[in-house]
Amino acid sequence: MIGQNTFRYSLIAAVIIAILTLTGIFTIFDRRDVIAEVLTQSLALFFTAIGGTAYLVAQQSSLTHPRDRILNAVIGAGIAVSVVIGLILLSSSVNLSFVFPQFRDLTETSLIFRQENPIIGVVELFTVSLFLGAAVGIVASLAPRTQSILFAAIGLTAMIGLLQNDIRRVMTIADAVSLFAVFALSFEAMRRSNVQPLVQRILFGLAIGIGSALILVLIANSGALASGGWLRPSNKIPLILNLAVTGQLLSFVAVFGVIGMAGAVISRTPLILHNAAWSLLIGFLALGVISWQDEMNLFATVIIFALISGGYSLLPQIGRNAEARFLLLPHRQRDSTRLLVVIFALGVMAFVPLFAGLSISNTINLTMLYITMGIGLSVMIGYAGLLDLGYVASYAIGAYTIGLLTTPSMLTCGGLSPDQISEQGLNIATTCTGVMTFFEGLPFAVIVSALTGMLLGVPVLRLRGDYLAIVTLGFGEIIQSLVRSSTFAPLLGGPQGIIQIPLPTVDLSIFNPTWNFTLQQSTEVYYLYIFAVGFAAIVVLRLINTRLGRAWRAMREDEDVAEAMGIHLVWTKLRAFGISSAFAGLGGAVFGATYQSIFPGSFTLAVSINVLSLIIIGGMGSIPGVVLGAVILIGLPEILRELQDYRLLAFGVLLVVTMLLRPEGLLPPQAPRLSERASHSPAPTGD
Amino acid sequence: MSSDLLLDVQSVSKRFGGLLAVGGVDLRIQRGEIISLIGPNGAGKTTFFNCITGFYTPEKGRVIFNGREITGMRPDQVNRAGLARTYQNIRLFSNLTVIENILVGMHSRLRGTMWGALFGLPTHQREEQAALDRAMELLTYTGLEGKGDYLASNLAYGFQRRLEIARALASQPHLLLLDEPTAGMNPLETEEMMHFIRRLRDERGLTIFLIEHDVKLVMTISDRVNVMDYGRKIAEGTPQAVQRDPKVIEAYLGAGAVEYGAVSEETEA
Repeated sequence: MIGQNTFRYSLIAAVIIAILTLTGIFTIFDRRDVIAEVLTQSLALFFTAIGGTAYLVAQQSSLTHPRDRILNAVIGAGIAVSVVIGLILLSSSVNLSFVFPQFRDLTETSLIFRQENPIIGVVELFTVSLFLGAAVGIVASLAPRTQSILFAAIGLTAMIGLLQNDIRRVMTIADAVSLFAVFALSFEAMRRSNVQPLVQRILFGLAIGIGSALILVLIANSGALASGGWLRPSNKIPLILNLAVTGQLLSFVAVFGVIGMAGAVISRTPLILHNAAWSLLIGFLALGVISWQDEMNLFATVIIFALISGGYSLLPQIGRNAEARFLLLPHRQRDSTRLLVVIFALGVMAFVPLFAGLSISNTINLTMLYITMGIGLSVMIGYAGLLDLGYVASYAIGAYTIGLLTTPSMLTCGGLSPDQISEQGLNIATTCTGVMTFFEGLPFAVIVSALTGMLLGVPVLRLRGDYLAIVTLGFGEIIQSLVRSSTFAPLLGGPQGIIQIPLPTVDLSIFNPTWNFTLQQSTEVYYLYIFAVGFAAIVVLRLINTRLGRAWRAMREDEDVAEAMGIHLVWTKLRAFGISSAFAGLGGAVFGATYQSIFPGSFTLAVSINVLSLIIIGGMGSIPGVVLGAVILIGLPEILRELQDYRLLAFGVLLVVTMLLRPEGLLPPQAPRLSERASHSPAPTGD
Repeated sequence: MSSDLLLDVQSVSKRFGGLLAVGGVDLRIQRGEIISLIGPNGAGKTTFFNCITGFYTPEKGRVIFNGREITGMRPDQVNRAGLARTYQNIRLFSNLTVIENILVGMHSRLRGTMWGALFGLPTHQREEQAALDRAMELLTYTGLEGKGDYLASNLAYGFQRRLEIARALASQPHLLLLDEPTAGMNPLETEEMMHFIRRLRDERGLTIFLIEHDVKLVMTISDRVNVMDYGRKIAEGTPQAVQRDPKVIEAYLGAGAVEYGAVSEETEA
C-alpha cells in the first residue's frame, strides 16, 4: 500500500535536495572524508538527505505494516535520488555556472563512487539509495527507543569521523581501556555495596584505584609495553601507562586513584552527571580506537558505532538507578557529591587541550567566549526578561578597555607614539609596556563594562519588550560608530582598531624563576576562557536562587506585580544590566588580549544576534542550554569549515525547527525543587 | 502608633482623561477589621485599590497608613510599609514554582544582598533557609502542602487563589487587600474562602480590606461595608444597614427597584 502523502513528501524533499545540489554543496563537501576511503562528507550528506526523505515517508501514520513502510521508504528514496541523478547527468553535459556559480560537474565528485563511466556510477548510486531506503524502512518499523539509539550513534560516529584530523592522537587504546576498566570496577563495586557515607565511598574508590594501578604496574613492566607488546597495538607509546615504566609511579598511582574515586562518587549521582561521566569514558575509548587505527577507517567506525550505541542503550537504566541511589542520600551528602563532580569535571577540563590540538582548542575557545556572553545575556533576557539587542556594546567596551590599558601608548613610552618607536627600529614589546598588565587590567575592563551597562540602562528603565529591543539595538550601533569615528581615532585607532595588544602573561617567578608563562597558543589561552566561563557560571548559579535572582524572574513574569511585592524595579533592572554587561566585558577583554588586536569590524550586530540565537536555541535562562547552544551554533560551524557558506542557512533552519518543535529551547531551565531543601523536608515523591 | 486607626484615606481622587474614576473617596479602617468594598462594574473599586497601593498616584487626597503618609509612594515602598494585595484576575508568577512565588512575596522582608549571595555568607544562607522554612509553613497554612514544587501555572484555579493570598501573606503585611478573592469559585469554594479570610483575621491578627461581588460572603464576614458607584462612595455602614440603603439598591438595580435580595444575582463579567 502506498501512503497518501508518500509522493507529496518525496517531491518536497526532492525539491529541497535539488536546491541544495544546485548551490554546489556536494562539490564543496567532497574534500573531506567521514570514513577514510569509504565515505566522503558529500556522500554522507547525500545519504542523510535520501535517508531523511525515506524516513519521513515511512513515518506516515497511515502506514502500519513494516512491509508498507519499507515499500514507501524505497519509493521516497527513489524519487529523491532520481532528481539528484538528473542533476548529475545535467551537470556533466551543460555548464550551469552562469546561473549557479558554485554548481560544478558532479561526475567528478564521489557521488558516483569515482566511476569512470558516469552511467555506471549513476546506476550504482540509484541502487545504493534504494537499499538505503529499504534499510530506513526497516529502521522506521523498530521501537522508537531503538531508533533514537541508532540515530544518535550514527550522528556521533559521523561527528567523530568529521573531527578525526583535528584530534590529537594522544589517548592510546591501552590507556583508554585501563581508565575505563578501573572506573567501571570502582563504580560497580560501590554500586553493589551498601556503604553510605561519602567519605568512606571515596576511600574505597581510592583503594580500588590504587590497587588496580599496582596490578597495572606489574603488567606494564612485564614487557607488554615494549614495541610490539600486546598493550601496544600501534607504535604509539601510551601516555599514562608509560608512567609505570619510566618510574613515575607516584603520578601513575595518582591518576588511577582519582579515577577510582570518580567511579565511586559517580555510582550515586543524578542521571545527567552520571551519563556525562560515562559518555566521557566512551569518548576516551573512541579516541583510543582512532589513535590505534591511525585514522577513521571502516574497522574503527564499526567499533565506535558499537561503543556508542551500546552505551546509549545501557546508560539510561543504569543512570536512573544511580539517581535513585543518589536520592536516598542525605541532603548534605548530595550537595558534596555535586561539588565533587564539579571538581572532577574541572580536572577533566584541564586536560582537554592535551587531546584537542590547536585547531580544536581554538574552536573550543571561541565557543567558550560565546558561552560567557550567552550566560550574561541569559541574565538579561532569560532571567530579567529585558530584551537586549545591543549586547555587543558591552563586549566592545570590555575589549577596548583592555586594549587601552595594556597596549603600549604614548603615556608609557616616554611620549613616543608606538609608530615612532617602530621607526626608530626598537621593539615595542621590550621598550615599553601598557599602563597595566592583562591581569591587572581585567577587573577594570569588567567594572567599566558593568558601569557603562548600567549607565546605558538608565534611559531605558521604563521601556519594555520590543521598545527596549529597538533602543538597545541602537546602543550597539552607536558604540560601533564611536570606535570607528575619527574623533576618537587617536585613542581607539579608528577603523584600524588597536593592534599589538600584549598577550596575557602569568608570572609565578616568585615560586620558581622559570615559571613565567605567556599564554600564546590556543591550547594555553584555553585556561583563560575556562576561567571566564567558570566565573560567569558561578556568579549566575549563586545568584539565581536567591533574593535578587527571584526578583529578576518575578520581574520577567509580571513587572507590576513584582513591584507590588516589594521589588525595587529600578535597582533590580540596573543590576541585571550591570551583571550581564560585566560578563560581556569579561568576554571582550579576554578576546582582545588573546587575539592581540581589536577592530570595529569585530563588534557588529552579528555578535548580538549570534548570542541571542544561541540562548534561544539552547533554552533561555539555563546554563546547560547556553553551553549546548554555543556548541551547536558556534562550535560546529567552526569545525565543519565547509559549512561556513551555509552557516546562515543552517542558522535559519535550526531556529525555525527549534521554535516549532521545542519553543522553550533544547535544554530549558528546570524548576528548582526547593521543598527538599526545607528543614523539615517531606519524603521525596515518587515521580 | 498605638492608635487603632490603620488606614485613613482622605478624599482621594483619580481621573483618567475626562473620566473621574475615583472622586473624593474617604475611608477609614480600624486595626483587626474586615472591611468590604462593593459596587457595580466600573464603579472604581479596583482603581481605588490601585490608588492605595501606589500603582496610581491620586491627584487629590492623602493616604495615611499606620500613622505614616504613603500617598505617591511607589508600590514597592507601600509593600514595605506593610500593605499587600491580591488581584482580581489572578496574577501569579506563572513560570515560577509555588514556593518561589511565596519567596518573592517575602522580598521586602529579606535583607540578603547580591554580595552576600555571591560569597555565600553564613548570614545570607541562614536567612535563605529561614525564608524557605517560613514558605513551607505558609504552604501548610494555606492548604497548599505538597504542591510547593509545582509551577504556579499548573495549579488548579482554587489553589491559585490561595497561592496569591499566601504570596501576599509572605510579606508579613498589617493590611491585606483582596480584590475579589472568590471570583470564579463555586459556592463550596466560596464558603471555604470565607472561613479562610476569617481565620486570617482571627489567627494572624490581620486587617482585611476586600472588594467582593458575592453578597452572601460580604454580608457574612464584613464588619463594615462600603459601597461605590460612579467613582463616589455612596454608602457605608454595617451589612444590614447597607442592604437597606435605597441609594445602594438604586445603584445596583436602577431607580424604582426595592427588593434588595436581587443584588445577589449581580456577577462580574
